Amino acid sequence: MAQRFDLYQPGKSYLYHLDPRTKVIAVLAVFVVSVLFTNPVFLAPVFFTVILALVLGRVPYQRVAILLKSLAVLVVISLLLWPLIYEHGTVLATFGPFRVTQGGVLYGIGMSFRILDMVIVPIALFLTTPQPDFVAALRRLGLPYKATFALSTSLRFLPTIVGIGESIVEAQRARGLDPNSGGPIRRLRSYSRILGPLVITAIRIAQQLSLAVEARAFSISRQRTYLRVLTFGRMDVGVLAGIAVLMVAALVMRVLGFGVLA
Amino acid sequence: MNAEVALRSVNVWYSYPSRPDSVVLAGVSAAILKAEFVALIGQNGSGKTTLAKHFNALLRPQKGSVEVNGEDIGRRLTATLASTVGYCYQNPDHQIFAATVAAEIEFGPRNLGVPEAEIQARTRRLLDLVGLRDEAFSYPFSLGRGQRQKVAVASVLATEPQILIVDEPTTGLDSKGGHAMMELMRQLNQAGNTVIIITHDMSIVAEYSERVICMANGRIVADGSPSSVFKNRAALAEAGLRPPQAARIAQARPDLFSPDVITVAAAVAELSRRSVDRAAS
Amino acid sequence: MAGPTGAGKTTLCLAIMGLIPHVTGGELRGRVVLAGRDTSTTSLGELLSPNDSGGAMVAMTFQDPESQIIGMTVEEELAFGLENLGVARPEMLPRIDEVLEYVRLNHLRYAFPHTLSGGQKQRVAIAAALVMRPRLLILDEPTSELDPEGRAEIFALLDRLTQKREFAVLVVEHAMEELGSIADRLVVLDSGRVVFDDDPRRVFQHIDELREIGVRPPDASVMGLAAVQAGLLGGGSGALITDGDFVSAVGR
Repeated sequence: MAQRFDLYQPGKSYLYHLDPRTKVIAVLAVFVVSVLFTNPVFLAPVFFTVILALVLGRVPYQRVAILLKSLAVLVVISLLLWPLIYEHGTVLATFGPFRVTQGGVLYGIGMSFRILDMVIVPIALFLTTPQPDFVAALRRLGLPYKATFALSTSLRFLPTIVGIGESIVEAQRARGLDPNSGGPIRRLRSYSRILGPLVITAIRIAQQLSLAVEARAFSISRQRTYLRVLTFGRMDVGVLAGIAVLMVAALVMRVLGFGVLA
Repeated sequence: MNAEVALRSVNVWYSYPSRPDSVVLAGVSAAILKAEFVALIGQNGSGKTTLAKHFNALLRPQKGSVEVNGEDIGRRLTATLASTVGYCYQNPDHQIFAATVAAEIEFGPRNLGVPEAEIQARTRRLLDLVGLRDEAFSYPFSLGRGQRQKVAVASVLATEPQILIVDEPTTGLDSKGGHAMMELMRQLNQAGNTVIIITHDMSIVAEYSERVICMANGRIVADGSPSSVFKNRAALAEAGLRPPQAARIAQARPDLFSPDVITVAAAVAELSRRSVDRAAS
Repeated sequence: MAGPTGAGKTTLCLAIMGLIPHVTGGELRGRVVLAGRDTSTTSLGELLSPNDSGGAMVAMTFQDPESQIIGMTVEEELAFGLENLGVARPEMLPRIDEVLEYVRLNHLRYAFPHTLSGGQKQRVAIAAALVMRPRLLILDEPTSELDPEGRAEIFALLDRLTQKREFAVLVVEHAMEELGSIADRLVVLDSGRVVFDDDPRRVFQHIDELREIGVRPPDASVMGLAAVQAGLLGGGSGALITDGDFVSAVGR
């Protein structure tokens, strides 16, 4: 049965010592820079810096090896497809109605870097940050408490619900449903049948949960205090300062017109 | 009593894939005869549910083998065993999915390709058997826990398995509900079905089962009649279980009770016999 | 408190807790009065943290161990109620320490709920209620979903709770033989009505009526009655509940 949807694995490196808010901000910074530029000449250094940071941080990538392999496939598709869609500059080759241009190839490479950055960086965040810390970071960064409560409760109960779904499917097998028979349509139908009961069960859990949290003063109007405290360390200040500088530089360059393919 | 073996496990070893270092079944061998009424007892984690799930191939042994009606089921799919071995889950909400009680019951035989007329006949019979005729078109989740439990049992019986495994038939039910469920089990057993219940309720074990298999730490530590198992202090201690209160008191007062008293009814009967004896003397 | 399914035990607990009517809505006639306050007219906030005391008036746990634990870790679970009440952080930690000690779960302070057994989860839930410092602790069927080991843990905890006598405890249970001897009072409900409200030893004398309602009296009580009828035991001293009661009371 599913235990937790949690990538976190304990480890030792600077990434594990950083305040989770710093890491969330870093992720957002990478997102922004990835979107700012389209020229692979500018996106490549971003990507390699990210990789360097993660390797130095000893991120336990083995856990997500399968995910990374799928990512590699996505990147290859991106490299092949974008040049067929985006046309700019010198034509390098022609396939029927498609013209592969230099600009298109560059764009495809740029897109690949972008995909890599925007997928790898959040994964690294979750590999190095325990869920409670991540939720606390969101709260301290401004998300209202009720929203973070909804998030952490969903994360907490999702494996429970999935486990019940697995149990129902198992019970169906015990009553003669061969999951491997029939085409994909039939299999999809049989999985869709459990959605109803799972929703009902989720609602039931929510009802019981609401009584339990109300009994512990969830809704009374009082200023809430928090057990978990997050404090910035010197390393965080350094990293955040570095990110700020790089962001400013990136914005300036973009405004001056660098980093985009015309 | 028919001495044919309905279920057999031969030196079964098993660990869950997510925790390969934790041995859940350590060489378990047991043979359950046709039409026996067996109670499988033990703490959570003793391996009792894991063992039970081997009997309809929901789990496959890593070492050893499992036989159903004399046939090794190592290569059989669970779905093909649905009309031989029925498995009813502890929590009916982890099993029920259909929109109506009738649809839930019809699901099994429909998977097996049973003719429609026969499906309808079976459904009617089972609804009557569990006393849910009026709720045939009700939404199962609108019913109470005891009724949902009945829906679960009826839906498992719909494929007419001769062997029935029920995980915790009385948990979550009150005294009357529990007895109603156990009377159903007794009825099925008297009709010739092999019934195996997994339970924590020692009073139910004493009252209804004819054989008890007690497990602890992945092994069988006791296997025999309820009265013999309830006298086996070493095994019960290892399993962390106690006999029902009637049995404990009877064992503590051998001057008042014969050694095989394990139920309240038997204890009361013996006490009133004493009074009759005294009155007569 | 005992009674068959549907007797109204959980509903009554919710009413005492104030969740009825504040959270569930519906119609409540009559009054529930907690330490002089009428629960219908007092806000839930007042009931859970009255201004003149350091703790809640009442706290409650529920039957299903799974769906009442929200937390990411045991420590956070216990902190949840205190956070909601706005308890200052320096005060939170010693209260959490104290309660973890009480339920014997110090070693699991940072554990996640999915790693806990049913008995441990219920103890966490009880701890989360205790940390609110209630004057009345309500436990709704704490052992129904547990295995014998888990049940034993909870009974041991209840035994400790009743010995300390720091607050009132209301337990809804079916396990009459374990709890009948440590309870001061047994209330039996049937179809929304109180049928018995007395010392357990007096309630268990009504064997037939209890069975008719659907409450299973302890084997010892039934056997004790049979012993009285057989002339082996003098009647009138109250029903027997524990093994020891019967073993020592009935003449040799």
